[in-house]
Amino acid sequence: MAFRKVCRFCEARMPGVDYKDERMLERYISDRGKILPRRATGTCARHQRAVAAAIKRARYLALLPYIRGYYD
Amino acid sequence: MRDYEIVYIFRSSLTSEEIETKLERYHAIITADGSGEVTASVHWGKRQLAYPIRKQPNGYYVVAQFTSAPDTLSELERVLKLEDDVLRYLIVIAEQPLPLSDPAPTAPGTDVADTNKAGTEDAEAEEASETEEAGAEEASETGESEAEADAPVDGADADTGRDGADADADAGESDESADAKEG
Repeated sequence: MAFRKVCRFCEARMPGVDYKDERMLERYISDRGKILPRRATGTCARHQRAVAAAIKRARYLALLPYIRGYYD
Repeated sequence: MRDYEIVYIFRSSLTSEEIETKLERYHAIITADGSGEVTASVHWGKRQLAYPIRKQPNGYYVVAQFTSAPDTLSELERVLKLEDDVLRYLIVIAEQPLPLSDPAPTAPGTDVADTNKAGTEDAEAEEASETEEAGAEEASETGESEAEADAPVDGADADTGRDGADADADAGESDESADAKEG
């Protein structure tokens, strides 16, 4: 996991994080489906909160797994 | 009045007419008081669920945005909870307008598998080419001993015969790729 100095969402000037974009959110979860920490992704604090919330919504909608590698 | 966004996951065994009928019924609840309005509606279609819901591996996703008074939601939710063919729904306050088409209409499971597969394939291909180079360079540099270990590829054998004049310049690089391969 490469360390990024600048938050991707700040770079893209995105105010929010879309819970429907599971391909993008995929980058912020581990291979086990856990939410990656800021130190791994370089996301700023504000956007990390938004990412975490979006991932949880996406999980509820079965766009992302709660656990990966358990059902497979 | 507020802008909301709702995601429905229907049972994928329903026909498209059945889904349309149900959607009309739900959206009628929103527009019933005269002030609510459905502003956008996008069918994602049938997708694989990331995990089974009520033993269903697939679901039919529909996303809609609407404006309504907050009081309307309780009635809408009551109906949706009773509905057996709606595996799941999510109503949230809309943050941004819906894109006209879904960026990723395919199933998340297969998507993941595909991208992962592609990723590893790329990585493997890269690794292979690196080891090939490394093998070739080492072969020309040090002769047989390294070549045996690192040159399973035919191209490397062909290079072994060549003069090792330009190999010294690349020695550092070949060491790096050898390390990368071990790890």
